[in-house]
Amino acid sequence: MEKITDDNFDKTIDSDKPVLIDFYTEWCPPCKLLSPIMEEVREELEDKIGVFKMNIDENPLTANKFGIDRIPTVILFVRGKIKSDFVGYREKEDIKEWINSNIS
Amino acid sequence: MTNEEVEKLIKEYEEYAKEKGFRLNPDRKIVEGLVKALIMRKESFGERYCPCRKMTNDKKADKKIICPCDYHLEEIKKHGHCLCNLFVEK
Repeated sequence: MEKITDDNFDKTIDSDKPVLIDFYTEWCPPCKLLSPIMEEVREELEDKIGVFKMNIDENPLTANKFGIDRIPTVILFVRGKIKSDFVGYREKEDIKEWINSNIS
Repeated sequence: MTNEEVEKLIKEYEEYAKEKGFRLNPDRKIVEGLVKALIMRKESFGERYCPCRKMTNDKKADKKIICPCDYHLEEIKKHGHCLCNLFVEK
């Protein structure tokens, strides 16, 4: 899964396809559990959405802009705007259902 | 970080959970991962700051996120577990 930064964040979310961003830190064990699941989601839904990750310790500007104080936080952007989000670990099928209900 | 430190902290949190009427996550790997992250944060930043919350670097504000944090009781009541899944309801 491609890691994005404060520098290319705006360009990344400004997409015709919905974009999902997994905000994480290296300290956070639930982030480590969620990461491979997000990778599977990316592979399974790559025709529908883009899935990226961002380390908020390394990219504080974006984290502050969106008030991210808990991790993992996952935000779905549609045409550059927040459509929905969730905080904490979730199972893959729950995430796919959440995505499908927000982009259909 | 030694295994003894990890085991000691797991025991401390087990006793705390028992006292409060909930329990530690039955998944030992999750608990070990969280406890190791908490010890690393203590070594790096001086306190066991929750690894699932962003530190503000304001010591007064960050006091709220020292594990067990100010939010865990309400989260367990509301969601059945704390944000990090260290503590879960019985």
